[in-house]
Amino acid sequence: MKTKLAVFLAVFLIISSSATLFAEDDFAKTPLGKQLITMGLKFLDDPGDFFFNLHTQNEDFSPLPAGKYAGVRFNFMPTLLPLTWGNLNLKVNVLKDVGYTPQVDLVGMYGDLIGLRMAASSLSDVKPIFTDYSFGAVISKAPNEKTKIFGGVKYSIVQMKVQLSSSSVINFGDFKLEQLDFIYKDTFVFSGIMHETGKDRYVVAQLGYGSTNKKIVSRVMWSRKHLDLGVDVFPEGLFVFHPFMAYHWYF
Amino acid sequence: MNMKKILIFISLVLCSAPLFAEFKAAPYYSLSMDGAVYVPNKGDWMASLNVTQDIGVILAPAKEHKIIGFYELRYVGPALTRFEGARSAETLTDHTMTVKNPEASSFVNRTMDHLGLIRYHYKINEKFTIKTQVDSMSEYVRSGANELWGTGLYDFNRTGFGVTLNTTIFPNLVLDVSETYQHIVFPNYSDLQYEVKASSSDVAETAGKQDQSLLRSGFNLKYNKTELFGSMSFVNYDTQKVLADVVNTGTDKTSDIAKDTLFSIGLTQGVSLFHLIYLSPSISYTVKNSNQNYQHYTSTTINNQEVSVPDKFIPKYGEYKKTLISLPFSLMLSRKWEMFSNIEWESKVYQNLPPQDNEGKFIDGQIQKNIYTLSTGFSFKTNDATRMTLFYTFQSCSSNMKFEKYTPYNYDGYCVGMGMSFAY
Repeated sequence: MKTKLAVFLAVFLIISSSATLFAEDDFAKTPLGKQLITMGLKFLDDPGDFFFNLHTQNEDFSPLPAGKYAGVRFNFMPTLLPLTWGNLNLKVNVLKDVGYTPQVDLVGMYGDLIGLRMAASSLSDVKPIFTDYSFGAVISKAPNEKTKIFGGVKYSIVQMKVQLSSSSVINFGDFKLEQLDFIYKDTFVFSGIMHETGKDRYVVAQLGYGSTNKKIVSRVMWSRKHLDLGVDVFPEGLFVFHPFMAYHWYF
Repeated sequence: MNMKKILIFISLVLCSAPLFAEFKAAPYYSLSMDGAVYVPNKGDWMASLNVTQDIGVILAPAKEHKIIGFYELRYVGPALTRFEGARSAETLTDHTMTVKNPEASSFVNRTMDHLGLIRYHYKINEKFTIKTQVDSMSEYVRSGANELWGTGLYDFNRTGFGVTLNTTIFPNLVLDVSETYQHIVFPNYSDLQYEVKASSSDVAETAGKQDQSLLRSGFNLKYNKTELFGSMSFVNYDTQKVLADVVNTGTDKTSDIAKDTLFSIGLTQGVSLFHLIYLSPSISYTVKNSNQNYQHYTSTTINNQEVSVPDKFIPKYGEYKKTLISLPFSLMLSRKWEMFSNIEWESKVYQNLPPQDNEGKFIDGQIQKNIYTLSTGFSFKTNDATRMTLFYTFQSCSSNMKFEKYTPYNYDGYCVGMGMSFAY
């Protein structure tokens, strides 16, 4: 069963483990080899940041379209597939945009690594810890019929503690990865724009800033009736650009 | 710029929105992201990212009053990957291999700016408008992999205020006269002299990074589409002392405080042809005077120990004269498509700073730098709020400075990129 856990973690550690597998002298000198080694090192340097970026992809802190009372959303790629990271984002409207009153929506997201739970359920000596949620409020106002300007605050956290078994320890040069143990949390202030491009079609652009980690997260998203396609931009991330695909339902 | 300030500002913008109809006010929002790949003929290629968010509100509670609140967050740094030496060690070794960390020596600088400002305009009468402004800016700079955000050597905080008197002399002739004061603090800065001595890198560019106040007087005279502008800036350093000639005086600093003066004047002419072609050629000339000196050190071995010894004293090394000529051009291809280009030439001459040869030895003359830049591209407005841009830039730099161990002075660079912007 420890192998099962190792296989699961290997999905997350694909970058660094790939670099290790291919780290022969000749391969290490090739551009691809160098790039893989670099990415592996970066991941080892700050795994929490990489997981937090994936966690951010599960969130959607844009306002509900006019006339909608609630919305559910989940990120399909790259979190649910291939990483088995189940997630659900819920939006609830508490105030409508009428007259002087801005629209106010409350948003929460919860996620869990299904694969990690399944692997851990059969283990007695390894008890992984995984926490993933965020919540916040979005205030928006529509200066015209098609455009909304919005802003808000959110609290976001992802925590993981997994001890690798001795046979699953990843060696990389002088470095050894024996466990993943991090907690990454921050309070973000964000603002953005939502523009209606057609019936049930929107383009959303937003940027958030977390003062604790001085972290910028930005998103461009094209939203259809149920499908969201977009790119998250993490300027200091292991991968700066994170494309995603998500599904939503509004009520 | 802390979280509380950002929250207050966003609240101000959003809460003021309901008042727009009555007070003739409007919000403003813009988010732009530009990514580009830069390939020089010397050194490594680099992918860059520029993310800028502006959020603001314009309030006009009465005809003669206007209040503008504005906040900007800007990030400029590498894209695609972090271009960061993930480990301080340059090599990783184990029993079977030695791998050079390909990024250990290729860290790419990055900056993050937070700028907030409030402007108040008061129209005294038909001829005179007074404009006041207070602003605050924090810039975080990461110039090395060992610097975390907020701990950078070149981080600075700037606060300031300014007053501008706008005078309509004739309907087509408008004069702006402005006075600005700013105080800049570098909270993490350490000894500049030590830094220069240690690296001997681009000494001209490392100057001026210390607590300082800036007083700027400027004018802008506009007649139809012709603008004449100029300014005089006085930079007084709070504590930085003028360096002394160690060899002749026996001390490394004088009792004088460092001061810089910058004078700038320029002219811009706007041209519109058939409402399709827009040109705005511009020329500017800047002179910098400074009382700061530079003491160059070289490394030598004495008694089997490597030591730095004074080599050359260069008085007023930072003084330069700069000429900048640019020719921006844009062509409206259709309601949605626009083509743009810009040709720019910058010439900079350091009057007292001699160039160095390939080995780093000073030779007679003055450092001269020329930068030619040609950029062109297309922008496409996909909807009322979105604009896509594709651009190409060629840059050629030449100089009589041949010592390029730390900083390249003679190179060509090519840059291709695309951007998206969303605005209301």
